[in-house]
Amino acid sequence: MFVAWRDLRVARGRFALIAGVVALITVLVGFLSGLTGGLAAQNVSAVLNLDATRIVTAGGAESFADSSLTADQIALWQRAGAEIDPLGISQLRARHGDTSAGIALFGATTALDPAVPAAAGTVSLSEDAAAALNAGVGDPVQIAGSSYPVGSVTPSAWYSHTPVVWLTMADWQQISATTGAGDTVATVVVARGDADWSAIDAVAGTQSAGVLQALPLIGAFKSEIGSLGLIIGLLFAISAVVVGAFFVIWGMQRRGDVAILKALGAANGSLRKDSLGQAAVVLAVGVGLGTAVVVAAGLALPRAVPFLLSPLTTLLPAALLIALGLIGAVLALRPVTSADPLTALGSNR
Amino acid sequence: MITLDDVTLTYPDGDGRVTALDHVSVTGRPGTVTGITGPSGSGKSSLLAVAATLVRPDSGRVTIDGTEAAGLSLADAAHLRRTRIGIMFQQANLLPSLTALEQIQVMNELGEPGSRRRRAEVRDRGRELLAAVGLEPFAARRPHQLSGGQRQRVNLARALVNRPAVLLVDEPTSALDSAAGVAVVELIVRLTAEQGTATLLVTHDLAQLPRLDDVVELVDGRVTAALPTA
Repeated sequence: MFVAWRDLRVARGRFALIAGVVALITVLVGFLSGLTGGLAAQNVSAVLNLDATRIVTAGGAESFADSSLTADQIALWQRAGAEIDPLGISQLRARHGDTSAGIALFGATTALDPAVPAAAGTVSLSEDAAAALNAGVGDPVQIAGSSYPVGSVTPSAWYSHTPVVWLTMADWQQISATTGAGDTVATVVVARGDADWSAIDAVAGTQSAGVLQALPLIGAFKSEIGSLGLIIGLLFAISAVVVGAFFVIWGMQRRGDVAILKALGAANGSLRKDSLGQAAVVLAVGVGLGTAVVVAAGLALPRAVPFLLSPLTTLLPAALLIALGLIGAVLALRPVTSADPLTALGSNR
Repeated sequence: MITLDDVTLTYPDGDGRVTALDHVSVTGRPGTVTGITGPSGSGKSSLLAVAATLVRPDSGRVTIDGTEAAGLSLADAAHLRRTRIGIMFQQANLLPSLTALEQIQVMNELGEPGSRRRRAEVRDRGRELLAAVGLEPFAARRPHQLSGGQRQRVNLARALVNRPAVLLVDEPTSALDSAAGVAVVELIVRLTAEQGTATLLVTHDLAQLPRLDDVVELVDGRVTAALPTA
């Protein structure tokens, strides 16, 4: 790193430029990762937080919205020995005073989630539902023509970009019947433990999948995450190419100096370490700056913006950017290793 | 001591090959400067490249400080250059981001970490050499802040930092005015004697020959004469 550090010191402007580009790419990747995480959380957090081994939907259902489980199907699952909890899910509008908002209505028992009210006739609002409806404990909330007092406000939970309102299974089934799904007992079944899932599916006419595998059945999740994931992937590739291209050009400009060092007896290994060390410093500075901007902006963003600030959306992309940048720098080593020391002799320079 | 014994070197040239060195034998003794002179294309630079282990000869032997150098691998040749050979380039070839003192210190950073000397020791040796070439006050200057003659002095100091057995000097006066040229050659002669290096100095500047201990003339890749010096 002897020459590398001094190059960094002397060519400050050049390295600041590439570190700035890396920082901007990091900001872009960080924002997109945070946004993707935030959108995903607004889509699936209520399902992800379920204590579940498998999520069971009606056979052939292409989404949770298509799924409708009958009492017979649920009884078959119960008889098969699996530990199960029926879960009703529907999306509709709720009103409190003059405020109305789209909500996800989750009907279940307290065995599934402690957020579910113990007694029928009341609802529990997740934090965001309470905020959207401007309602608190004791306030009446109108849902499908009936009034339900708010029993409690529970931690944040989202489903398909709407905040969750919890109520008992009986209340959910009643609302479901009034909205035209008369024989629907539940939308899905949450199953736990160990059982021959395929066999039960075959008998009950259902389909079941692990929680993560079931997420694409939530409306828009697949296309939303797929599009943003593709953009993030492309940004990772672009960052590797940009960093690699910079070091290719930098290496080509340094070929004369490298030829001198080789003529003086420099080992290829020490030249490689010098170049990669230089790349690592530039990447660490650029990625560090970019990540700091993302974290600061993430903390400053209003709650309404779906932005998830977590190691998964900050440290992981940062580590990936550094790793990919270093791969680009490794691929850019050829001008360094192929410099001909013979060119240092004579008046070639 | 450096000995080139019956060395032949050819280069590809179109469909055939051109002979750059034709059964050349040259010896450089410790503490003396042997001049290599001759017209353009006579093989002076090729001889220097072979002596520097940058090019393998087709045949013949190259012995540097007791090591048979002609057949070394690239890594072993680099190690030999790093430890036993000093090279003073024609164009100084200083690295733009390093100060004069760092140009000398960098020689200790070229090998693997385990093979390096203590940095303080190398820094002291660098200051000693800068003093020897009259540049101690310029230790913190970068190449663009030095004159051509000063750059060549740093070039010489860098070549001597590892106490090489052999010093190879390539046209040291070609980029200098005559006064600066004389000063640099006299410095090379003095330091060669003081450090005990076997110095081969390639030059086409006939005015410098009287200052050298021995002179070998090359024409068309052959040694034509061992010329008398002053």
